Amino acid sequence: MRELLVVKAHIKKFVGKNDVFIEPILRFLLAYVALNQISSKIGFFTKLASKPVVLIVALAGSFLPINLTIVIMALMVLAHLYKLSLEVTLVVLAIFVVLFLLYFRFASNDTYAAILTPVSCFMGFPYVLPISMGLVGSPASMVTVACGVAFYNIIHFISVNAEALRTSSKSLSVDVFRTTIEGIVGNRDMMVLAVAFAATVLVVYIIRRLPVNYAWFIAIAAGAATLIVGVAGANSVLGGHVNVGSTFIGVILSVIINLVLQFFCFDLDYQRVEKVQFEDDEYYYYVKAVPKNDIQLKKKKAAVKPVASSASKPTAASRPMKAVPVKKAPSLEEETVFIEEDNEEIILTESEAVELIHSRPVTSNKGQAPVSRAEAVRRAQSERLAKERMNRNQ
Amino acid sequence: MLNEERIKLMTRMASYEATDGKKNTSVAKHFRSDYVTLELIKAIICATVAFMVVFGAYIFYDFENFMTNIYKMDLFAFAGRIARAYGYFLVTYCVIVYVAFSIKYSMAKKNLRKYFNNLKTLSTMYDNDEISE
Repeated sequence: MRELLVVKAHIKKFVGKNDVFIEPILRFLLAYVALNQISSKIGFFTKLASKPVVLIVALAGSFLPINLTIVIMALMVLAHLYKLSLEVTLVVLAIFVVLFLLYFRFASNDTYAAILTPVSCFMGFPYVLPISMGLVGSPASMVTVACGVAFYNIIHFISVNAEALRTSSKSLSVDVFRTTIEGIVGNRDMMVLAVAFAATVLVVYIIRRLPVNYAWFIAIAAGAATLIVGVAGANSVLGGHVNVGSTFIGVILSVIINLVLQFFCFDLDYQRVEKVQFEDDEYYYYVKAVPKNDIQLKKKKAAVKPVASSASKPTAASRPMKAVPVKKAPSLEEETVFIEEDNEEIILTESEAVELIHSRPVTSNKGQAPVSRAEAVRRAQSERLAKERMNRNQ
Repeated sequence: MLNEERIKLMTRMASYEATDGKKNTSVAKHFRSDYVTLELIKAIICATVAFMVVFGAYIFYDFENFMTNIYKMDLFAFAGRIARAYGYFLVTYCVIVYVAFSIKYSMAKKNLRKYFNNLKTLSTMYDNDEISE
């Protein structure tokens, strides 16, 4: 378990340091995968479905705001559908307009979920996102996830029935229009999944916010149960034909992935819960503090190299000395792990280095017991800084 | 001399200013009633356009039937049904928008209050530094 925590700390440190590069790369990958899936399912506009165009649009998506990226993706979908049939384009355009006007206008924070839901459905693991959005999102994510499922089902319906929906004439065909609307609105499987996903997001959200121990674990389990029961129940009520067996396998995979998400986002140590009470002028506080399962990474001090002044000659005492790393025993309150970092030089003046090497007490100690080497260095440096400040003020 | 506490506080405040601070400032510069009313007006316009799009799709879905029966049907009753459907839809959507933006306004005000408290704390830190010097 400790090794996992160390790995997590390393990953967090790496991501924190390189966030400027990692975020555009991830956005590029998301846009690229989404556009690739769209092109493979409904790539009727061959020039737009070509790899260079997909790559360029995905590259643009890595730098543009995510809301603009989703608008560009919607326009690309409409362009592909226009090559198939004008009627299908108008139906899908009407759906997009209604969604943008009624929902994305004031729920634009969930744009990543709106892209990730259909992508996960295309890639064959649709049951991950409802539980994930319940853990990290808000109740509004219910609608986003339902919209994502609906979008996936619309694209799937169009790709399966492309030949029946294709029209070459310039005038509108009412039959194609009616077939498209009936196929989209009458899709019972889409409604079953949308209802089950929305219910799962809500259940997971409510439970993970409860002030109980292991709330996130309980929420994941409840979300999994809600998915299975929701799909089975909605199947019987709405008349859908979603396979409950494949749902069960998908939910097991979703639980595993969401346990990994919980490990990174909300890993608490419930064995060391502290309950305290205190008061101030206005309130009496009952506080329950649950420590996080985190490991602090600390740098190992490397070689100490004195700075030689121009007046001095190098002596045996001024040769660089390797510091001995001091390992601290981990306590209950704090665990530290010493890691090798790039050599960090502690720059000292010659007198500080000489004092350090001969382990004499520093002059400010005034006859007290000798101090440790690290303490001696710190005191010498703080004295020098104080002198420099005084000189500047004068 | 570098004050770690002050740097941490200033970093948190700068991060807030760069992200949520801008949105919250634009929300909280209105009175609550003004902000919610403005959002309701936008919601009414958006809901009306969306309803017209859906109504157009419904007419076009059954266009042949509609054109055949338009001279036989009671147009006033038909218009009344459409108006009632529009009314129910509009009221439901406006209630949802009212609740959503009231919550958003409260959260924005709360976050701004925290930010201003941090500003006061920062100012106190600077005053204390001047006194100690």
